[in-house]
Amino acid sequence: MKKSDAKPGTKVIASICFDDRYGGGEHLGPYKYNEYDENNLVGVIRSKEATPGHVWVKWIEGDFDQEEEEVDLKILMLESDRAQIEKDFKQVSKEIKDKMKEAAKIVNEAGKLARSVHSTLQEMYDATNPLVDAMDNNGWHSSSWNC
Amino acid sequence: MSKKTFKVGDQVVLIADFMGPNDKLQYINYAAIEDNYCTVVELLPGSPETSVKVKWGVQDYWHSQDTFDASKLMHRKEFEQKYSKLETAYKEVEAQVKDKLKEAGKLIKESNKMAKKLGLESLNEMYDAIDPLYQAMDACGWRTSSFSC
Repeated sequence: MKKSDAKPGTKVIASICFDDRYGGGEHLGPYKYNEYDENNLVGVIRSKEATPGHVWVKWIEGDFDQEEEEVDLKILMLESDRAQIEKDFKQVSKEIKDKMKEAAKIVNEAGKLARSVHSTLQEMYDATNPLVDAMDNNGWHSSSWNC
Repeated sequence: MSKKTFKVGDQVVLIADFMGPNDKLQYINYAAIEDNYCTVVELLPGSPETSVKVKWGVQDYWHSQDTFDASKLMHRKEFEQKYSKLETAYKEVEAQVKDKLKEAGKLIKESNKMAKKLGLESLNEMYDAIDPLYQAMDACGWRTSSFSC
């Protein structure tokens, strides 16, 4: 958020982030919308003097460890923007969902083609590389797909 | 095919591994065809009347012999002609599948970019959105339950 917006009493939002999927390495990060509002924090900027680029925030909502802490302004967002962030998230999520439905349709079509020669997509290693590579490069671990 | 079509010395192929569920010859991706080559060494008389004794035609089994029902064997030349046609058809389909999956891969890449813009680590955090893709992949032979191992 902008320094000019960081006035004492202003409500801000952030999220608790984790370094791994098992919940390790907890740290404060930018607000991320999620349906259940998990790991999200709402706080109020305090008037207490902070180091440059930072503000003191008193957390008032969420599962926080410290009631008050010094936070980098880059991490914080205005609570008043929350509704818009949620709206944008839902819009983009819908677009992603549509794309994934289209990808699923294509995979099903490819599966039908494979079955037409008595095979499966999993057996067509060369042909499925573009899909497997795309998934590997975008957050999946294809090495364990056959666990 | 009966044993009458075979004679000692014929190059034959054990086709059991290449038979589909409809009892028709099918192309098997990456199959080692040579492992199924053999040579007829004896046409066995009497029961079972269609039995053929063969000598395996690959180095590992060169000296070993087995007896098969003639219906499980095909002349090598006939097999290679039929199998080659099946391979051509398979490769054509494989190319179509590759093109389609390139398109699916492109959609995943685009979606991941969008997910990152939302502050997510990656697309696979959007469980609801990726569910249709998982279902499709499950239906096509993968096991998506182990995707996050």
